[in-house]
Amino acid sequence: MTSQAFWILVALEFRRSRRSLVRIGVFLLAVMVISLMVESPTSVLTFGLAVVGGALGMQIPVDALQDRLTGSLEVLTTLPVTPFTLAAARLTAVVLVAALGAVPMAAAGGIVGPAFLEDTGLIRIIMAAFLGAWTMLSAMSAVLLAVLLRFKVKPLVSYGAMVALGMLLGAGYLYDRLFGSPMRLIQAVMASDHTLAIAVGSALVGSAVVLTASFVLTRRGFEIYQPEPDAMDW
Amino acid sequence: MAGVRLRGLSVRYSNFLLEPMDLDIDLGERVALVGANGAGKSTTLKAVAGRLRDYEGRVEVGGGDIRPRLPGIRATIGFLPERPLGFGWMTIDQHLRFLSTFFPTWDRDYERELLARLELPGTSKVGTLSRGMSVKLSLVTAEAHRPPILILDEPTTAIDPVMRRELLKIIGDCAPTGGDRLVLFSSHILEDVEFIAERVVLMRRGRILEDVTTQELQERDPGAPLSQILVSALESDD
Repeated sequence: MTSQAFWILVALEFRRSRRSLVRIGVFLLAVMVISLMVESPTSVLTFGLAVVGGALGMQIPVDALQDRLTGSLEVLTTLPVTPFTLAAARLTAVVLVAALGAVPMAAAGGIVGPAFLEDTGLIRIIMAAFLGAWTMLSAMSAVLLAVLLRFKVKPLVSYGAMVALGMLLGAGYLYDRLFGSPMRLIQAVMASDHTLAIAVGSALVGSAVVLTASFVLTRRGFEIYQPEPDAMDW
Repeated sequence: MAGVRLRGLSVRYSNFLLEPMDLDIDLGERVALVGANGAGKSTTLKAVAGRLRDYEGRVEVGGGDIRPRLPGIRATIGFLPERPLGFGWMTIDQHLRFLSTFFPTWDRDYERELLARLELPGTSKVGTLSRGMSVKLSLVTAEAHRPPILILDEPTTAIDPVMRRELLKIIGDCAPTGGDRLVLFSSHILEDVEFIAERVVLMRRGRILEDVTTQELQERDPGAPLSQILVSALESDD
């Protein structure tokens, strides 16, 4: 029963997001068509693939927010299944959809990568881009999912998004000032198997920590979720 | 399986207090909670249905405290909440198919029978249903797995008079007197109480005023309609 419930809940996440996923697919087609019509197809296509990959990979938490905003989250929290199962199913969907999002990002990496990493094989670049994008999208998506479920939505929407965006831009600016283009870091990491192994190991440990923390937050979010008691709903 | 036992059930919100309450309901009973808004009916029903997290006291269903048996115990309780629930993007059929997988005793034939009796089209999107249709769908989701405990919060709200009669018949059929199931429900419509219940718990401002059978109520004024006697009982001083 628990295993069956788990997979049904995973399928629910995909079903809820299927329209968004189709829309993103249509956007991807549009990007490809536009890239064939302009003078610099590579930059348009690369940018488009990165955007599509990011949007695709983050779709589950964005669509799952609907549940909270419409009150249908209560359907899940009142089922005879544990918060553990609910959280595990949702995070599994997050990781699977992040893998889908990593595919266009890997393609983008395959297009621009060889120009910066001349001594690295194309397959190796694509695989690295895929794994890097998958890890990054999984972690970011899991954090977003956990935060949107665990904490009150209104202040998050009002201030949280602005603060998060500001911090992201600030961190990007600081990184650029201190270390230069991220490509230099990537070049340095890919230069030898040793540095690559350290980077991959660190990324895996880091994402495992982030995913575990997100799981704990998500499980707790399901456990304590209560719709705001309406003034007359006693 | 035993029925429902509340011992010292108490709930505190910022602007509301459900005072410690004791209540016993056996299988085979049909009991109505009656009272004005803010009496504590919905809170009591949510506690019995295992939907309330923060409360004091003990809620027993089927002979044991529900707290350590959550969430599995919910499979034996059917609950129609005051605010109907559902995934708006699903059709009624999809919604019921989704829910059915979580309830081992879900009866697909019975589900279809209920849909037909309540004139619910399975292809309609849950998000497009009127309030009355949503209430009817909630009744199907609460009842299709034939739970021993059926909890209904304002089951006839926003239902047209003809369909209301059919819905009341379904509720009556669900738990025949002396059977192995119980119905606990709340309603502002006193005619519904008269139609379904054989026992009434009168509530006011978070506490129980009276717990009486409809027969005992009727004996207070044999010639008067029960709804009128109920209004008098609710209006009387403590």
